[in-house]
Amino acid sequence: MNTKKAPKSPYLKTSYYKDMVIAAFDTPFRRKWVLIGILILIFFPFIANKYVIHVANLVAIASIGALALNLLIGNAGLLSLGHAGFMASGAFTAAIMATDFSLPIWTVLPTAAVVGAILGLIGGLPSLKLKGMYLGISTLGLYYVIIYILSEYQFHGGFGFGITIKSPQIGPFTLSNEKEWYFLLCFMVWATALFIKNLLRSRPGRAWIAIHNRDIAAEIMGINIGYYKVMAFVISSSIISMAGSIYAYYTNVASVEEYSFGLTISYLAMIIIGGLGSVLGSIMGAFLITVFPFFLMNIADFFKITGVIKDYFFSVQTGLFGVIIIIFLLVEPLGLSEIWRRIRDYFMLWPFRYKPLAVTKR
Amino acid sequence: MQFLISVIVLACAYAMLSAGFIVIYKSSRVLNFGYSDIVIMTAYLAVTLTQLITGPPVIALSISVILSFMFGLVIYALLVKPMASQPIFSTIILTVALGIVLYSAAVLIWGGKAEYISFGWRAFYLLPGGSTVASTEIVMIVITVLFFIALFNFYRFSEIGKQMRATAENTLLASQRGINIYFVTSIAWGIGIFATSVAAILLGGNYSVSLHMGPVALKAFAVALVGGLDSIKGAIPAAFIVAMAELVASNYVNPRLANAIPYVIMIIVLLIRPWGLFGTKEEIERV
Repeated sequence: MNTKKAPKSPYLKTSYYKDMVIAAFDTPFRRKWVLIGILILIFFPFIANKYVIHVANLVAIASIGALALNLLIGNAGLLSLGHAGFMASGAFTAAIMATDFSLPIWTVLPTAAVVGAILGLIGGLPSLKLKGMYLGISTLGLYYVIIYILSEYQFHGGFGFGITIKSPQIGPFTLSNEKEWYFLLCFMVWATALFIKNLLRSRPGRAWIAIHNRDIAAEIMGINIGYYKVMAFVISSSIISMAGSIYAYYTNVASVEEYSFGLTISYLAMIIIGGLGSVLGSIMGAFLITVFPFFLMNIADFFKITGVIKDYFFSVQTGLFGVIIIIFLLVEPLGLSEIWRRIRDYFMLWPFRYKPLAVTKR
Repeated sequence: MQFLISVIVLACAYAMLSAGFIVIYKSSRVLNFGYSDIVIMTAYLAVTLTQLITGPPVIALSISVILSFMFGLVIYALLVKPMASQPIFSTIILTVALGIVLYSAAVLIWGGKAEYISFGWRAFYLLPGGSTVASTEIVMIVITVLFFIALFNFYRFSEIGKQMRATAENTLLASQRGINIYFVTSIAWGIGIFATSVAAILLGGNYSVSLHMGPVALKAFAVALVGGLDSIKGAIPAAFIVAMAELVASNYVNPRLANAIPYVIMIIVLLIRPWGLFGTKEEIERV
């Protein structure tokens, strides 16, 4: 066997340390592309106009939410339909704390996380008894209760169209323009992705995957099922709640109407189109779903479409969105991350470089 | 007395809505989340047909109901059957996506205007005790009762009904015994959408047809879960409980609470008795 060639293969890990290093920098090819990617991300806001940066920021916020939801649904296999409720709770925590008590953002975000964690605990408790769709529906119920409480607050407080929130201050900076937000949000997406990636490689992540695959077998292997299920709910909903409060800060408003059941569905679409259980997939899905409406709007403007389609443009948009989800589910159920993997494998093979390992389908 | 009538009428609406939901769930184990949008779609379809076809509205309405039955078969053949090997979760998201598509189609075609299905006549009758009841409400109650009797008898006596029960009980065993499970399940989808359409027409005749029917129809989930997802007879008491609680909340407490109360009841039932009032206990283990 030719041992000289073997260490070059990205699949051959000769030590535990090598196995645990996140595989972004392990080959020269990847090193080059990751570097180029980071440079593009850094210089992007200096070239692009405000509108594009705004869209990029929305993508970033959606990525945080999608990452957290994917942790819960894709990895732990616990269906949750209360996503919008958790986001709304985060947004209202920010609204109440920043407007009524004028507290700074670094106290607000942890509090939002704690609120999300408590709600996640409540939402996770039925998971001890329920599975699959039953769990999904119980979280849907929780969503309606949260929205009811928040709408009571909003209407009795006299905030008709939502509570306005001032732009947050970090030290001497006021985060008010898109470019400043962009860097903060990029950092946050990176931090969330790293946190979740690390979580998935350590004990809880493996426990979740075991529970997802077969809960009875996982229990026999000594995993405390209830503990880890509730833990998945708590972690995911606290991140989601933080994403909600960031979104409220970013848009300067918190309103119940924004957190409809449709929001939950669009987040579900993100993780399905992106690929369930994949960190990269969540970001790709968030990108696609967030950019898609803006893209359609530009196309409509470009072709100067008028008539019925223009009048009801929003529903054309949501309709196409539904069609995309259906096509993905029927044709490529593993999502964008699977397409990405195939493209990558193709170029890796070309011309006969490495034979990729057979990736087990989940 | 007036309160009691409105409870009965609302309970009938919920029972019909959740019946369509349960029939589909029982056979294919798919929670049809596109349900509320199918309600909107079929209601608007009925409106258009009553406007197009002159003559007694019964003809137009029965055509629209038959069309909905076929629509159910199409949904099953095109969307649900190819998903058979996927996890059940994906199929549910598929129904959600279907709902989105149908909703936007309804907005595009009908423009989201509020309409009204006419049964040809509408009158108010004075009952002893000073309360009134509308003719549409009487129609609603009568049709609901008839539908449930027909459904029970269908499941009990007819050949396909028996096969459906067998498929619901154990799909693998049923297919081994020579039951064409695809056929049976597609019929179940047809019946489910049929029931939805009947419920939509009744709702549209009694209240109005608009895009706001969606949240009303969504409460059928709560009703179905309270009664037990695989139990048709559970839908009736569950519908009464939910309708009662909702009207009590909206009349005496706060109208906004009325939207949340069915889900509160549902969560309570899920925590205490997850399989519902009349559902089978093993059902929880299957999903």
